[in-house]
Amino acid sequence: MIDKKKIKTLKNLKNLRWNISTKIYLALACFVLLILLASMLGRNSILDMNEVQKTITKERIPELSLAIKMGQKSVALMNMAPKLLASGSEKEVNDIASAIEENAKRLSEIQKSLKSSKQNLVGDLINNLELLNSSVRTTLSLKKEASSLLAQSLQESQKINEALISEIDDQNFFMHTGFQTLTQRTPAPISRRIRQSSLSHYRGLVSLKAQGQQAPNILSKTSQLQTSDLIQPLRERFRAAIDNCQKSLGLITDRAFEKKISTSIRIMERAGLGGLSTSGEKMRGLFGLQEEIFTQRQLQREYLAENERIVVQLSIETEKMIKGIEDAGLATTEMFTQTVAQKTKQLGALNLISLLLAFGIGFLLVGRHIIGRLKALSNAMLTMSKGNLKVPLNLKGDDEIADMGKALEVFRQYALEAQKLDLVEIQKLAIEEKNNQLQSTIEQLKKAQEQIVMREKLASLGQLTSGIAHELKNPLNFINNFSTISKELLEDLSRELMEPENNLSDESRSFIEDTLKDLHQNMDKVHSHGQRANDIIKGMLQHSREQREDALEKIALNRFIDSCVNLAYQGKRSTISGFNVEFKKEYSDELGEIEVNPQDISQVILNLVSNACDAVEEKNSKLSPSEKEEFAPCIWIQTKKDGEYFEIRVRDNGNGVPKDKAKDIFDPFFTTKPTGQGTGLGLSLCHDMIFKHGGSLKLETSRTEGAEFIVRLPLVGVTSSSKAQTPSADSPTGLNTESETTDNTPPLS
Amino acid sequence: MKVTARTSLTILLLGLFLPCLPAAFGVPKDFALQGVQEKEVLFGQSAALSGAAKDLGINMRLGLLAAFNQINEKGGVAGRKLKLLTHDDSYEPEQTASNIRKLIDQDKVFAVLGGVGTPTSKAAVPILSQTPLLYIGPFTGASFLRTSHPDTVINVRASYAQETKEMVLRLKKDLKVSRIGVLYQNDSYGLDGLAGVRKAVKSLGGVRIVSLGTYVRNTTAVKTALLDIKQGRPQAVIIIGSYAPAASFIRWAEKMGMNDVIFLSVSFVGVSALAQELRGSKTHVFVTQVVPFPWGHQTPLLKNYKKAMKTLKKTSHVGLISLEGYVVGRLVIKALERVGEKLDYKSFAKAFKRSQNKFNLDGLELFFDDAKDNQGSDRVFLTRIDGPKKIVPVSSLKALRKRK
Repeated sequence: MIDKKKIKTLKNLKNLRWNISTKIYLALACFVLLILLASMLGRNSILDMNEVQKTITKERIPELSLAIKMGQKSVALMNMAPKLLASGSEKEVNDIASAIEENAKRLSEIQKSLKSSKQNLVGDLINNLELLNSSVRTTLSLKKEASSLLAQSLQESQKINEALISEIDDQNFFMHTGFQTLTQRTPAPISRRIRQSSLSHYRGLVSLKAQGQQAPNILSKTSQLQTSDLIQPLRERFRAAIDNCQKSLGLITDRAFEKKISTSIRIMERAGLGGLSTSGEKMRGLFGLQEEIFTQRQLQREYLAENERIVVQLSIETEKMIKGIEDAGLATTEMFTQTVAQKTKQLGALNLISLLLAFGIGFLLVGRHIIGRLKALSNAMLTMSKGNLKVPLNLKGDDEIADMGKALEVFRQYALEAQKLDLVEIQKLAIEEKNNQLQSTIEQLKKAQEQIVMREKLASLGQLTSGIAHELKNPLNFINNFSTISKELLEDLSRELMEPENNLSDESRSFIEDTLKDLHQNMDKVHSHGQRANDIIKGMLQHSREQREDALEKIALNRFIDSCVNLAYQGKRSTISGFNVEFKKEYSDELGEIEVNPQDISQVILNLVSNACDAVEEKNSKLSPSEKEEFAPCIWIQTKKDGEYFEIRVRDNGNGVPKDKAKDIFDPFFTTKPTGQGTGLGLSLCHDMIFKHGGSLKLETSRTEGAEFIVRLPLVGVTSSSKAQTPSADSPTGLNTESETTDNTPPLS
Repeated sequence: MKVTARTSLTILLLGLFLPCLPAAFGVPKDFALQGVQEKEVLFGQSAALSGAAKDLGINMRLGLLAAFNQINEKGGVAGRKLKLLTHDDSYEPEQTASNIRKLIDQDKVFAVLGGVGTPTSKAAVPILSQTPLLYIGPFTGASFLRTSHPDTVINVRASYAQETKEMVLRLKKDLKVSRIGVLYQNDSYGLDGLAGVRKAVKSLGGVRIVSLGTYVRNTTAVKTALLDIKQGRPQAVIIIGSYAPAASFIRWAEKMGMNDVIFLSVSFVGVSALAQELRGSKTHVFVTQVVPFPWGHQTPLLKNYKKAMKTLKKTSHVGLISLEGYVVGRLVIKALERVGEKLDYKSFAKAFKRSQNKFNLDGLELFFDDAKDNQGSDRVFLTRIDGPKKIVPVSSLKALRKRK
């Protein structure tokens, strides 16, 4: 496996070329080399400095610390002396002595390592301290001895005092009362109480009490002396006090008591002045001890002075040593500074080189060679993305960017070919679209053709109707005319009958009169119905008049409209049984006669009213019987003048037009009625006709109930120019006038 | 030799390196609570268990132990058993001082109880006053324990001043005595008693001190004092001293024909010992007392006390001193009960100062009126010595001893 990998790597190496990674790695390698160089230099500097530092730490600092330690130890030793002097117990002295020993040992070690020539100074100091130590020890033992002597004498004094208090009390009482014990029956006679011996005994007791307290007081004062000056005077006083005690003792008559006291006094004397102890040893008294202590003190003061002298000398030496170490340290520091400066310069130079190299690599390789070519590549790509594929790309070099350039060039050529293919496709699509358009046009044409056929059919029907009407008009004229004449004849006949010369019986007269009356009535009916038939025919004719004939006529608009409404209503009534609707008419008087095409207007009105009738009927038919009672079908007809226009509004209260269908209702063939009932052409034709007149037909959409149509027409008749605005081919209206489908057909009977 | 400024500076600087000795200044101790544990409270006592006054110390200790033993058998106070640690001071003030120091620093006691004597208390109180520890129920009526350090000292018994005042009052009221002599020990105890007598005489009027006599402590050299006192021809002599010199004085006075003189002594004298010493004497000797009379009417307190002493198997020690110790112990127990579980110096000290609450020890009421009152009882009554073992409580001095 590894071998395989190696082989692969080798192959790759073989295929190595001068590509970007190689360049960048090379550049990085350069940088790494520089950094290595710099760090080696830095390391070198640090090593050099370290060398200097070593000199400082290994030689100067230990020397300095040793010197300081030496100083410390010297001062510590110097301080030992006063401490020794101040110490009050043996334990303290021992502690200090061991501290001295410890310090001295250390000091000589330090001196040895410092190779100081003045080692004898330390020796002197230690010797001196040892002397001091032994002197202090001696003093302490002396003091101990002295204080025990003092305690002894105080104890004896206390003994004497206690004994004396009771004895004095007893003696005093005896001299006063003559009683010595409680068991004594009778008091001693006065001659025995007050005599020379008892008085001198009492005097001796009192004097002893005073002197016995004085002696230990002197001793304690002596023990507290600070100088030797007063020792001698105090010794004299002590001797005197003891003498006095012994003298007083001589006065005491009680032998046993005297012996007890004299022992105590002897002990006190010995404690003060010294002598042979009970065991025969010679002992020093407190005074002697005190003198010895002062001698020792003097010695100690001398030792102390010596101590100080040595320490000062030591200090001077230490100072010298520190000075030397300081100088050496300064020299080392100077060397250190120089090394640092030199290394700084070297590093600076190296930095400069690195900077130059970095600039070279950055500017030449990265800036020009890589980024420049990348820019060219990206520009070429941008150009292509804008659709311009005609600019060829040529990048120099033999690396990844050049590869990318080549790839892009290939891509560009492919894209160019693709672009060409694409144009053919677009043309194909356009043709298809055109085909579709043609297809739909054909369909529309087909529809229009159907409409034309339908219209032609209707037109022929109209012609037929008009023909028939025309033919009917003549017999109707006969009927009308002859009925009129018959009526006149009947009137003549009745007038004749009334003549008195006609001898007619009353009976026959009344019979004739009745018959005449009936005839007259019948004639009236014939005439009126004939007239009616005439009107219908006339209307039919009017409606079926041909386009060519549609000249503008001046008509009384209101009346014309009214007739149209009536015609429509009659038509409805004839087709729907029980149909009933209330008309509310509001005709404006301002209108008067207006020039319009009555054919068109009547068709529009017929259409609108007929639709309104259908709407209310449709609503009515779907209501329940109870609702029917409440619902009153109603149609509003309104005319009014509005500036240059007049307006006809037709409104119903039917179901109205759904909002979504409102926009479609004027389209041809759009109907909401069931199949077969409407063509969907009615409103479309109306719209076209009104438009032809230069007006408009709109559905009022704001109503909530029912539907309202508004016809607006100009007051001045439609000009030829407006006529020229023929509807486009898409709207196949305005070809002809024709009456509506069956629902609008007026009744013929 | 030249000593430069630099050299001295070097020495000075080196001197700074010297290890400084720990500062021996008396740093005020932040006093932590001691002697109080979950299951135990430790009290200390310094009293004479040896020497001339050992009778007082031993009995005080037994009284305290009897009280503690009694409560410990019931489970202690707030779950803590009470423990007493006693050091002997032999009635030596120096020893008392070192004992107190030891009790505070080493034994770490919570409070110090039942000290014996005036000079010893004088040594103990200044030390204790620097700590929050209390000094409760000392066996002395010295006035300084009632005036200075009221935050440290809690007294049970009435003062010497009250005892002497009772004496002077009774002498004046019951016997119409107007001439009084005073024998006093030449120390703080004697002087305190003398001052009490002087104050009483001054305040009552109609009575005067006609003669004074003094003797040295720890001696029986009272005869000179007797001569001095006799000279004033007093009708009564008040003795502020200990039993040995007092007995010697009375006996000699009797010998000197002062048979009708009334001798009165303060409680500290130790009535039983005095009665023992005076066996055979027929003088009128009265001793004032500050605790109930143990052989009198058996109150609940006395019953409990005797029961406690019996439990301790120390019935032979039943007496005024151990009773005083018992009362001190009972007071301490009551105070601990008041504090409850959260025991510390503050709460303990406060328990004594609740002025509205009297301490009722089976009928014996102890009461500290206000912050300054540190004395629980003002009770003083008289006992008469009728014989070595016969001490009788009396309400009046009129009831003189019947002489055969």
